[in-house]
Amino acid sequence: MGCTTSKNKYFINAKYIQPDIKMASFLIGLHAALGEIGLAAFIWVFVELLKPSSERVRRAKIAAVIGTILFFISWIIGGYYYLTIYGSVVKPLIKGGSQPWGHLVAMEAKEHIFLFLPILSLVSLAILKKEEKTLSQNKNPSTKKALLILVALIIILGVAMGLLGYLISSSARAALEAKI
Amino acid sequence: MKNVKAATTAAISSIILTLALTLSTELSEKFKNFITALTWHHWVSKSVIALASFFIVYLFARKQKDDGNILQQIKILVWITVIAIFVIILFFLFEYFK
Repeated sequence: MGCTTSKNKYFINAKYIQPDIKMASFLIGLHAALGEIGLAAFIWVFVELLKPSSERVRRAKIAAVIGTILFFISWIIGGYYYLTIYGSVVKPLIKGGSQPWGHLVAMEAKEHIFLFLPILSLVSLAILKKEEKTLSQNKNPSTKKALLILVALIIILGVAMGLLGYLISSSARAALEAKI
Repeated sequence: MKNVKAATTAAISSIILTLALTLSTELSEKFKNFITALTWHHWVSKSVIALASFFIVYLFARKQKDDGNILQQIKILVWITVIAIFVIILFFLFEYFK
């Protein structure tokens, strides 16, 4: 993937990079879309919990299950992309480009911070399952407050993942544009 | 998962372990090679360890009494998560600028 002054080498690189880039776009799109839908599911949980009733808590539980499953699928797809394409094609591209921080800071932070997200969503599911009755009857406001704080953190983390993903993609695009 | 205290304890353990693994693999090449050798990639190993530690700690902690002080437990979990996030970001920023 190295860049030389030889035009032929650029041609060969472009030929080999092309299919990888197409596959990368698909995987990134899927990874981001599932993550964003998972994030939307937790926004749904947050809204349902603002004024809980038995019906709203039931819906919040469904939304939390959907969000958690989507985070796990997004984790697997993102991981597959990271291991098969990112490491061999995108990472060297970003590191050799004008915005190397896209990998060295944004990606390094994202790949580790992301691991917190499915774990936190599992805890939110545990609370919703155990405290369904308490939440429905609004018996203990501190339980509702605790869950709202946790879900808010999940939402903020989800938004942060999207932002970091945008920064990584921008760095890759900047590096590609410099090669044209 | 019926024990919220155990789930919170498991999450805290998993997050602290992930933070420790993240920093130590960056600081020690030897340790990074060891973690990589557990699967085929250091990130896969960390992912598996993060998830496995959550469920293992939960299994051990679920027998303890769930005291019902969920707000206090969640506050601790949230603060530890926020601190871990800042430590990770600052660490990689420091590594980049040093």
